[in-house]
Amino acid sequence: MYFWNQPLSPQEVHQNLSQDEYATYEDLVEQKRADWLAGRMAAKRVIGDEVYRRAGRIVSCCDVEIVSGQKERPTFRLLASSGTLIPEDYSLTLSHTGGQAVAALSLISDSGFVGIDIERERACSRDFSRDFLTEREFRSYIETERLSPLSLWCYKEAFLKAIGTGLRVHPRTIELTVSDEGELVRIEKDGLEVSFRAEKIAFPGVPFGAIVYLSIPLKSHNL
Amino acid sequence: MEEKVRELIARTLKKEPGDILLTTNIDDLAEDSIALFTLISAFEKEFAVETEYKELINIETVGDIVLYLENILKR
Repeated sequence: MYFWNQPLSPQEVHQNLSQDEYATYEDLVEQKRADWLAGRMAAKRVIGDEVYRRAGRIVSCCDVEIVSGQKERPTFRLLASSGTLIPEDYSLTLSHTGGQAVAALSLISDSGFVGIDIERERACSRDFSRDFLTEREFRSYIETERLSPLSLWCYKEAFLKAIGTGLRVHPRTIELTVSDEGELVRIEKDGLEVSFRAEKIAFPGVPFGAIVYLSIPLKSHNL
Repeated sequence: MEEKVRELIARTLKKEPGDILLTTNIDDLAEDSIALFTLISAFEKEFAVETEYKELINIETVGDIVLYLENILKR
């Protein structure tokens, strides 16, 4: 997992992005650029770390290209040291908020598919909580004030990223059971239990976050 | 419909209505996934519809939302 929270100068932006990435960056609206860039940098670093771990080679950020459509799982391409990692063997996930980002990489055969989400502190209305939580979740965690809605949102969004759908699946189709310590202990998708591993994460200025590993692809659960 | 959609987006995401064109990309308006989800929920309440979340892959612009709502309201 790699957390990125440093702004880059225009020259550094140019140096760290591939040509295609730079073209994408230039096309972004101004208010999206810092988050997008932070996400790319975190992902490039986490992949660079894996190349070093596996092959002992150092790759610079501009030699790692993050590839993602708006609604697809992100993946990567190595523009140098290609062959040291096979992108199809890995699950890559990233999340950004307020110009900060985190990325995680999982070797699918070892740890399964991974999803991550981080959220900055913000006010959440009860309507928002009612909209994304099931009735039981709302009664158990929000009415009792046991958990912040943002903690629950992070678990749900991280899980949706791990299954590869993101918000193309309604968060209410997932039901979470969370311990008194705030640890996720059970996930049900459409009423069926899912095998997973999850952790709460937090970084300076980013108090809410979760990473979820799905040990078996969701279709193997017959969901 | 177009005007109602633009007004609702402006109100929910706290944007200037004049900045919201049919060609504007939704991802450029919604700050993040929470904002996007809040917007979807606002549409469901305003138009009394239930979104087929799997169809969201086809929605990129404000114009796509208008078309989606027109279609779903005809069903």
